[in-house]
Amino acid sequence: MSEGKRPGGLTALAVINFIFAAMGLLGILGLATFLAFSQMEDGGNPDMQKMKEEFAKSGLTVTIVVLLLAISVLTTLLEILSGIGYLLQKKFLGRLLGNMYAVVAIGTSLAMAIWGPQTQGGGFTVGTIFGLVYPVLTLLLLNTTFKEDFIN
Amino acid sequence: MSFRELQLRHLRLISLYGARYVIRGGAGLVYIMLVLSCGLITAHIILLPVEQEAKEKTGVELTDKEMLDHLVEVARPAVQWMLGGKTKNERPVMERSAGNEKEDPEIRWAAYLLDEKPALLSAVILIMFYFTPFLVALGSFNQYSGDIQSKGLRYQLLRTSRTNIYFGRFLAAVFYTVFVNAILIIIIVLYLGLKLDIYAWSALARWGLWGILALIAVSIPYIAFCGWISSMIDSPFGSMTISSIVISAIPLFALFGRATWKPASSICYALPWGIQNYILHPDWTWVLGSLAACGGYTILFLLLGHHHFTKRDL
Repeated sequence: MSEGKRPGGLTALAVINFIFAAMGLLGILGLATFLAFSQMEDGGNPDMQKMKEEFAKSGLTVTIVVLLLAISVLTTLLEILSGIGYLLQKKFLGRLLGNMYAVVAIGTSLAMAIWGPQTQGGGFTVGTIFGLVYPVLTLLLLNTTFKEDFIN
Repeated sequence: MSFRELQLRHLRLISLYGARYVIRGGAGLVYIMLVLSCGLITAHIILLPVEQEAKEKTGVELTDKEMLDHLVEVARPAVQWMLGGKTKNERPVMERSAGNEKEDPEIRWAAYLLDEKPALLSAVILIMFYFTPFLVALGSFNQYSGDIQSKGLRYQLLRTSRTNIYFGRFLAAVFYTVFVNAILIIIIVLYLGLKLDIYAWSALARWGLWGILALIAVSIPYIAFCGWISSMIDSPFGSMTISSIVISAIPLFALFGRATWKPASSICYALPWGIQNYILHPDWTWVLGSLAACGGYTILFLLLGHHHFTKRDL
């Protein structure tokens, strides 16, 4: 293997990171919209009142939504930056931020499983395991298979 | 054909190195992500009604077991259809009125999967049977074509024979597939055992182990088929495209062909589509027959691919 030649797996990791980052951006948009609607005055509109009641019943408070939004922004940013780092084989941008993303994503999944409201996907379900697969894989691969490939 | 050149030491070296390298190359990573995503999403969809408050929406508080029994009855006709059974309308009128449904083999088969075995696990395995051929095509399309295209195989030919390379890489793909499918089923079995208090651990472990073996048995002929295509085509993308198209086209042709001319459905036997479900049959003769057929397909595709690989210009 020639030194500096990027392995295909690292490229695949970067591409998957960008795909999840794109999905994360959509999630951020959704959360921001949700937050904006929850703060609006209903002005006597029955549909808006019903929506506010559903929001109140969902177990989500404004604090939780803001926290989810912040974590989503952080995770998405880490995915994009580490994806770029994988492509450029950078130690800080790729390996370190990639590990940070994995740790944050694993922590978020576990926190949602333990404290998340059931109505919003909380509790330990198969979905939790699904959310853990890619971060765990990233953590494993960055520290074993691709450990020596961050040369810049 | 030069099977005399086969050396176990070379096979072991090539297969183990290939299995380790496949994730480094990218195809393995994509394959493991696809299989785990597919399997876990399937399990999530199947388990969601049992876990969530859907039970409250029926107006009655149900236990997990009662909800499961309710779901099994709802899913039974779909499972019978997947196993090749006739729907109620397709059944002849005399059969419908005479109450002969219990003698229908697909009904007995569905009862075996849903009542005698852990139904949730059976459903996941059965659905994965349908996804596995497509997933294998995406994981095993580049056994040879990438190195043929880059002329990298020439350097290996200085040290070993084409036969060892061909079978070594096939085994590497098999080992990796075994590993990934085992992880998937183990995750689902552990989840069912720890989270849902419905099935005994012994039943889950036995059926989970059989599920792993069944998924591997279904995967191996398709790995051999993809290896054959990969040995013929110099481009990995071309290999992936053709493998995927052939694997998906055959059941589609069988389905649509049956509508115009019933014997056309036999085209599904060009690949293991027509026999793979019988690995989950209650009757052992059908199971052994299906496994033997999968073995036969594997040997056929391996021989075809090996013949082509040893004759072509690398």
